[in-house]
Amino acid sequence: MRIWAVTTGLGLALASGASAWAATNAPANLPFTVTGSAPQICAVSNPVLSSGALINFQSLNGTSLQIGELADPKTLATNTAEATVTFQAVCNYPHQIVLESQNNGLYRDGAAGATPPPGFADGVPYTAQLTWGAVSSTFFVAATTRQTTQDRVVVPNPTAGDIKIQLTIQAGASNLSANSPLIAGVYTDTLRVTVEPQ
Amino acid sequence: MKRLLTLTTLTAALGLAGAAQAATNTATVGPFQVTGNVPALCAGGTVSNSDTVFALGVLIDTATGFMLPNLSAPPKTVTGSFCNTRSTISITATPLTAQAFTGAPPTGFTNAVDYTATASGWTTTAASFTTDAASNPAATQDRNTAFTGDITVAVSGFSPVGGTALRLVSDPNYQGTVTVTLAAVS
Repeated sequence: MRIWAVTTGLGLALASGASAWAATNAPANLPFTVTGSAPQICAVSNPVLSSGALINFQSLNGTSLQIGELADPKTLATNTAEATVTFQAVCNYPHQIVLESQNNGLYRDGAAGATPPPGFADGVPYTAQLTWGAVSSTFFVAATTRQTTQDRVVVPNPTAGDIKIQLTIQAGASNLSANSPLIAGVYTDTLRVTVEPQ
Repeated sequence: MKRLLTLTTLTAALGLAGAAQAATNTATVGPFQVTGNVPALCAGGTVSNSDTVFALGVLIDTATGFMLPNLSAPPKTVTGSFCNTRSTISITATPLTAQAFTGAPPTGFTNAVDYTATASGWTTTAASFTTDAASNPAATQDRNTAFTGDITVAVSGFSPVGGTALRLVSDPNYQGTVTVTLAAVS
């Protein structure tokens, strides 16, 4: 009897050494782990003109939004204009969205550095109202100095949906004084929308 | 040494006297019972290459953020398992969950992935557990005989918790667990 007991004990000891999941009269558990990762991504699609209020803007052509009539033909003062564009977008991590105006306003093409004749304005300020998920921000593109200007908005959560930007030009707005006549020319600005890590 | 030999001889003599058995050419003692027992045991064996990780890699389409529809990982083979009596094999699993992300996922996102884990080879019907099922009646399977053989453990059928319209929040480590249990039935 004693010899049998010793033999049984030895058998168990050998089994324990040979296997990580040893013989036991208790349930034998073997755990596995399942792993994966979701890297940080942001994606933004091309803009679409919203079906909402469209004042003095023509349809969107690619990424170019044409103003119908920038200046009142009688007074040459700036006309009001308003349009909303949306971008389908996703960012799966806390991020920031950057609106960047290349000119800090609508300025005459090819006239950088040139001073307009006295009494005329050559720049038009506008507002870009951003709505993106739970955040919103008003970016006033002041047309005070022709330079690149930015508005950075921290977005604390992953966000998916539409980035909405409402562009508004106030009647009579200019870089000189209210209702100043605009000097003739093609007025442009490039507004870039970037979603990026904070 | 001489006194000791004498005493041993005496002891033998007393032993014969105690048995109350006359000295003959043949002496029988016993029978003596020799007994032992074999307890009910199960051993789980070892996983091939000691690799117990189902590594799915990148879970999402990096262009859209949606979960990839074809996630998979090779099954694992467990060798050397045995039960020397009737047994049950059970499997449980937990969803893959983002380990670093905290708080509730924002609208449009999820932080977890459901799937099904199976353990086959031990019983006619594989033990299986689906992490989003209200109940998992197939998670425990019975075997009525002692058995030794390989067990294949696999994961499949991945889907975002909350539905395929949801994207996964970014996280470097989504993790879930699968546990296979062998138990002897006494």
